[in-house]
Amino acid sequence: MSKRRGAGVQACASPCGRGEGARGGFLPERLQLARSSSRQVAFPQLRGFRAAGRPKLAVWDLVGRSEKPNWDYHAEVQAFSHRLHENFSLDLLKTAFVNSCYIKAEEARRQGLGLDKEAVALNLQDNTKLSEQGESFSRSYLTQCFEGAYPNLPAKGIGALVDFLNSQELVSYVAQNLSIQDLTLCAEFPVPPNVLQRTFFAVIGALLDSSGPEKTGIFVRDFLIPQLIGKDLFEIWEVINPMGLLVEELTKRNISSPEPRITRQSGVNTVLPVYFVGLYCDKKIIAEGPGETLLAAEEEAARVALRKLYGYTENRRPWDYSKPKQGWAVEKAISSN
Amino acid sequence: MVSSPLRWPLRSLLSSGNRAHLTPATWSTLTSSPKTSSRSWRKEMMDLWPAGRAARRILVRFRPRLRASRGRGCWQFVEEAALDFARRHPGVVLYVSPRPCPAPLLLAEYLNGTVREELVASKSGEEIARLAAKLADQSGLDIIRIRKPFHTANPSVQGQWHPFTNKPSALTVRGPRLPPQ
Repeated sequence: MSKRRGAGVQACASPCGRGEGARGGFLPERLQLARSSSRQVAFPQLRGFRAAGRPKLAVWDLVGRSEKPNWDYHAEVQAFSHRLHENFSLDLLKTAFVNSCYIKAEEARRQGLGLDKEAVALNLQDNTKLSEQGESFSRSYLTQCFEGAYPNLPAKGIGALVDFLNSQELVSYVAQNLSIQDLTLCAEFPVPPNVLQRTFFAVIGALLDSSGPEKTGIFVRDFLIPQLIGKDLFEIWEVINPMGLLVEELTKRNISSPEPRITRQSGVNTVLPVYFVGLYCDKKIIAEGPGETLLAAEEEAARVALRKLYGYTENRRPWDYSKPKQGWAVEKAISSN
Repeated sequence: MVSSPLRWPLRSLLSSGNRAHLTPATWSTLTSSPKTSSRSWRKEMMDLWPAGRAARRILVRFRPRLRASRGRGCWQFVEEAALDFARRHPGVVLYVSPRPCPAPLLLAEYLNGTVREELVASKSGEEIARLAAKLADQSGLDIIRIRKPFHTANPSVQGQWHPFTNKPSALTVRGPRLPPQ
């Protein structure tokens, strides 16, 4: 039974062949070992009788989706661009997915297989240039967005927000959920997060070259800015001395420095005290914050005051995703690149 | 393998210019395991993915010889409705895999890694088309009971109530009226 089933794993001798650009052709050699074992791969997702008692084929977990059957690279790239509702120029997009580590690994492999020099050289451009373009565009666009939306936020705060949105963790999370890790050509599997980040920025660079800065700006806004939902300013921007920063901000606005007073307290002699400290400028309250100790409460009150000053409170207006006005600072984005 | 005249429509379909979306291929496997989803993660996913449809590729797997009974619906789907489906869902790659298999099925892979299978034995072509459209429109989130049909990222506008809201502060002192300054 298993032999008959095992034979089914063999490469399909389909009359129409596979699409161009498909990697690997038929089953790569190292996977032919799998032929003799049970064809039905038991995946954790399979419910029912097929999941019971079948040996797991661990080799499938070691390779990316592109090395598994049913894969047409060209079709997948096209579907990627349609899924995002963007018009990419497919050449640029394919270049965006090529990483330099892949080129090196492929050339080394070809050399190892004993091909001569002309056959070894791959005629592929890698994505470093597109990636740098994409990253700088994304930074400048996001900086401008935040400067417009939070005019009172200082440059350091805006820099911290932009760094957070362009950080490896976040960008690789976004890229994985857009299935970029399947399309990206990379030497290792699973694709490391820095490669994913580079590829995502390269995709942005490709979009910039294909559709122009406005559409790319909308793309960046749609995929990166929602990652700020539910995040507090000081989770992203580490401020060590909020009281000092607050005093600076208030002196810039010609307001006297704040005086802290206890407004409420409870459970002072217990293991769980809570103090509410209010900060008063000219005897008018500007912020109130809770804490377990008086110092912690004062610091929290300073943070609340800063959030109010910068306009980054929890009850601020949500981000405006409506179409940007014509002639938005497109020129600024290009000139700052 | 695909040589009888009965299969001509299929062959012309597969070798037609619309190669981009209809590719016969070998036996497919599943990708990494689906992410476990808590309900709050699911809500975040619903908020945070403006890409809309989240289906990635759909595989139709069916046995070519069993034309009657169980495989019939699949043949009908592939010969009549599949191109339409591919045109209407350009973001989903459709793979057709006519090979020996225990049961015809539709396998849908989603952007978040989930894979869903639907057995389509003894279903008519139209039902399969509707099923494929449903799978293509789904996001890859697990199908679990939605406890509440609403969610917000800003649950409080005036500030979350806590036991000290609306209680007088320690600084409010009730005493004799202070002299005017």
